[in-house]
Amino acid sequence: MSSNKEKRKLEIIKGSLKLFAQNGFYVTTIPIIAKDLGMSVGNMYNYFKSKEELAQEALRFISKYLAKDIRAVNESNLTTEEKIRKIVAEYFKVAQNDPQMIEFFLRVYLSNREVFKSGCEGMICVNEFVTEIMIFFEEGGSQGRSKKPRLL
Amino acid sequence: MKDINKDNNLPTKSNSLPTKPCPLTPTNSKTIEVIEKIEGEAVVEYSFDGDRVDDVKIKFFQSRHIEKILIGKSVNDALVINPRVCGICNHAHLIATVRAIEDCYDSIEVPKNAKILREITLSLELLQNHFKWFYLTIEPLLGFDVQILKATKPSQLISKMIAMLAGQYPHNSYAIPGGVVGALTPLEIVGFKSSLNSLIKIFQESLIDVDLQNFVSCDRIDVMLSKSGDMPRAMQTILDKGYTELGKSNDKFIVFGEGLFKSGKSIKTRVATNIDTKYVESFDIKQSEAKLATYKGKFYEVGPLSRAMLLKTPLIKEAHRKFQDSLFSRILARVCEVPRLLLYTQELIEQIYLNRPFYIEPKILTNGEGVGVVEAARGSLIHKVSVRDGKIEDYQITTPTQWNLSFNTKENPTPVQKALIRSKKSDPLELIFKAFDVCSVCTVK
Amino acid sequence: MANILWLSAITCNGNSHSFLNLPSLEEFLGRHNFLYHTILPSTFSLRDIFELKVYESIDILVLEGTLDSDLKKFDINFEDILVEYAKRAKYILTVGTCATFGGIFMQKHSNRYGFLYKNYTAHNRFLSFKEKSVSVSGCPILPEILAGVIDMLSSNLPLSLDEYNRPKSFYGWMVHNGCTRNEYFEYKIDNHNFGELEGCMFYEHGCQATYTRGSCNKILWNEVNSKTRVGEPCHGCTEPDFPKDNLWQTTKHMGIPAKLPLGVPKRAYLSLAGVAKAFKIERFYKNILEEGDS
Repeated sequence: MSSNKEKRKLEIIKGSLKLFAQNGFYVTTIPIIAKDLGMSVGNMYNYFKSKEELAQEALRFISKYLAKDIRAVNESNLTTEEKIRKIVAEYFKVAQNDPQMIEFFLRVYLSNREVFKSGCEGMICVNEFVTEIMIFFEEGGSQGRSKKPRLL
Repeated sequence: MKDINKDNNLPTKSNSLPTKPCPLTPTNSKTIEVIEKIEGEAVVEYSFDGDRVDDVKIKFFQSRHIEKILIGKSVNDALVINPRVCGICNHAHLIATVRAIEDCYDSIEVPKNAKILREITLSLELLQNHFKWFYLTIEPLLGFDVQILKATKPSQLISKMIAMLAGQYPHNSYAIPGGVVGALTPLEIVGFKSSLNSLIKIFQESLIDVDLQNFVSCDRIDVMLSKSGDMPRAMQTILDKGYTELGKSNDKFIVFGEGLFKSGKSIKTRVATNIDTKYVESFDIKQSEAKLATYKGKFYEVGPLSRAMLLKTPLIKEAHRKFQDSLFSRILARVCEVPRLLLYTQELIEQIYLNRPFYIEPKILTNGEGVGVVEAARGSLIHKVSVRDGKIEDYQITTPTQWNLSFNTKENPTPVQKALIRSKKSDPLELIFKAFDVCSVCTVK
Repeated sequence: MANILWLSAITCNGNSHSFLNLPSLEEFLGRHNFLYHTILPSTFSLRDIFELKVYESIDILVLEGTLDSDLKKFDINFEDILVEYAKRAKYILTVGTCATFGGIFMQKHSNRYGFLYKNYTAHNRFLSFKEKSVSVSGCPILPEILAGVIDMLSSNLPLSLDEYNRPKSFYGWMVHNGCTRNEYFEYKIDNHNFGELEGCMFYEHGCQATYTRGSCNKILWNEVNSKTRVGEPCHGCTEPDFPKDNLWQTTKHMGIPAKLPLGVPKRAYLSLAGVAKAFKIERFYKNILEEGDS
């Protein structure tokens, strides 16, 4: 795939994220997203075959985006306490600057699981994010600083 | 104590043998023999009264302190450590360990399949020992050439049969509290049975050409001697050489393990069956790395002869009637266990039911005390464990060699001491000694 | 033909006996000669050995068992004898984990060690012999490995060694390679129970096969089987720190095994695990021999 196409795809993901986050998955249709981005509906389908595929790509995008920050924290020389503070700070930074990322997680991913059932089984679309979180906990755990969280 | 001169030029040709005197040069009244190839080595110090053995002391070179190493470890780690007590009876140590741990529970369920498998693999280890001992230890002492392959072919096949069921041999730890680690498929069962048939054939072609069933009920020495095979040949040689008066001991036998065998003690042929391991005591011997084991303060012989005396095996009863507890009876008893163990294994494998469990998970053991007993090739093996907070607090191992081959005063001698005392200098002392089958690696502290 | 001299320090004789299980023992004994072996008939008696009466050239010196600075045989310090023969031998094989790294019998003893190593640490006592030494670790050794190394050395084949002097031909693989329970590891099926044909012991029951070097599942034991195939965890017996503590339980932090497959970064392992665990593959949750629909 050409880098131009990749670039355009990313723009579509970012644009759709905002709309999904504001209005929910079902209200946000492909024509609405296309219109918002100034594209034709037909051209949209050159990039994503379905709205589900777009939502799944959006989820992967968020997972990678968040994982990048946490990985930097994981690989730093900070103490466990400092790491916790840093990760929480990063979270609030994202919530403030890119609230659609968090909104999408809560409003679409966690509410409309059927959209992700086929293609995002288990945690494979949020694998990067989950992996970094596990590494964070595991390293804290091996130093005896964190207790096993109930959800993992 | 002499040290080796490191600057000594080492001889490289046969004509330049070193002339350094042996540091263990025998004196008139004393000789010191090093008995080797007995699972390690033992030092035997003979004191002579004229031509006769007056007293014997047995010492060992090494000490390993495995009991000390076990303390503080997680209790199930003993399942991995303990087979490493001994390269030749490692499996007996595993089974004794698992039984000792299971005995720590107030109640624990062990599925029948697992109990049977453990009996099978334990019996196979006895068989492996008997073949190796007869061909590598006894035959050369009777003047025959060593037939290495007659020892290793059956022992390799037996090891393979254990591996089919338990993963590998030596040193597996497939028996765990609550059963065994895995399960079997029909493939192992048919493979095992086919190998067992091959093993029976090897027995008949090498040791004695008889029908197993008939032979275990045979009570006539002359019938045994009339058959072909290395066993009748060896027994005939013992008769021809006039060794039947040699190796007579205390005539006191004890057996703690069950399964194919019966537990109890026998003084000459008088049997008592109510014995309890709580009366077993073991003592450190000051001048040796070994320990000494007693039952209610008395010495007993353990091993195949004792087992045969308790089982009242017809042929051994007959041998004992004629030659008492001489080396003739001792050697014959051991070889005569082979057909019994083969038949026993044949019966046991039929009792495995593949659709029934091989393991039932027990609850986690935190505190307890337990005793595990097995009949190992050379005799009763007893493990005692104390567990606190899931860790080993204390561990005591009493091995067959501690019963048979430790030493005490000449007035109150151990079985091997008694067997050797009053023997003549010209007697085959090493044969008398090795008829008990020493296991040095097992014995040491 | 190689002249082999087998010396035992503090040992259970397990390697001596495992060697007797070599399937091609007859051919091996036809090719090579034992100046001394702990069980087999030999050219010399142990007393000859300790009185330095061996005048033949020594091609292979085999050392079995943990060394102990106080060990004496015939009132002679064992290490003095060892050094004499080590000087003369063309090659020295430390056979078993005791002789190589110290092993079980080294635990709780400060004066005990392997020939070149004490656990992971190289010590200097016998450093001058390192060049001609080969580590054949295992508790016990696979007989095929010992015979293989002796045959390779006596036919002048190159022997590529790892950081602990172990020949890569045998220790370049993980014990995990060839285990019949591999699928359960690949797909992260972590519900192993004892007493079953199915499941992988890595997650709960302490299996060390993914970070233990050896050929147990490649050569197989006694030609037919292995510990992990029957469902016993690998206890890591070829490695410098054998035996670790708590051998039947996987140490975990926050549900993640503390030791991961050799060389695999945590991030790579967790990513793969995340993907594998996303799919519930029915076949892996059924008994292999279960009656009815498959």
